Amino acid sequence: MKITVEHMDLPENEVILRCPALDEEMLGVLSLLRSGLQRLCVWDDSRRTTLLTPDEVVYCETVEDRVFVYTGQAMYQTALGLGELESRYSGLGFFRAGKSAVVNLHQIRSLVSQGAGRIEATLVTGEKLMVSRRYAPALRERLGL
Amino acid sequence: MEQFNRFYLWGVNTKYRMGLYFAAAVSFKGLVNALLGLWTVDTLILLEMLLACFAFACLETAIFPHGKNLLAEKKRVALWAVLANVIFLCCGWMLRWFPGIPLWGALVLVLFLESSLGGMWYALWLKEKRDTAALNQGLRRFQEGA
Repeated sequence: MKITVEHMDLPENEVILRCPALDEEMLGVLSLLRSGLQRLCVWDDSRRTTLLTPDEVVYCETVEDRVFVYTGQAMYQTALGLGELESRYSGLGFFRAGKSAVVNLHQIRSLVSQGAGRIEATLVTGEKLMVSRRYAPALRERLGL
Repeated sequence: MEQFNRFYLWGVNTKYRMGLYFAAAVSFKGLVNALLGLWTVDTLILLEMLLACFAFACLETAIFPHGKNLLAEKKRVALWAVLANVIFLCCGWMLRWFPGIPLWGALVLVLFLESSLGGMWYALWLKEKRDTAALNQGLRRFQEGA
């Protein structure tokens, strides 16, 4: 990808992306640009991009190097890694629940203490997600326990 | 080295469990002896108790490897309870850990063993229940505070 930065007299900063088609690389660039606006840029199976507000996200997970974002109704992909999602939206309730999952704490219906220090989270969608032993102490700290 | 470290950690974990059971067995033996008017404990019986506790601790570590949810595994819990009964009742009876004890005393001992096993699981259940309540209270507080 060729990157050109032009300095000129403009009323506000402007970014123009030129490409023959929206491929993974361009979707990633778009995602990074748009995520600066607190919204999460995602795309679905038909490569249609959508801007999600963080509170719409139930959880995110990595599967074979791809990051999937789950809302109550649909599944999307994003170019951001789990670490980036966690750090960018931590203040909005995103929490690292495991090596391959980030969960939105506002979308958890209930928690159950499990043996060996793990915590099972039941999401608003009814799905269950396990907070691993490694991340459970951070969750307790986040919840003020 | 990795093999050794794994074995060492297994040993530490097993020794801890063995120590707990041995302390309980020795205390109980001492109490029964005191009730029978005896003020000494046979060294051989102590050694047998130590070995029985070690065997049970090894089996317990195998049944509940680190990371397993102790309350959710019903078949494993049942196996654990059966093994505890087999090992401690058989050893107590065959190795004559409590000589001179009347039949009603033996029944009390069995009842005590069963209630001790049940008590261990009740304590775990209670701990998890309280922890779950605290977690959900913290979650609600977090969600309402946002």
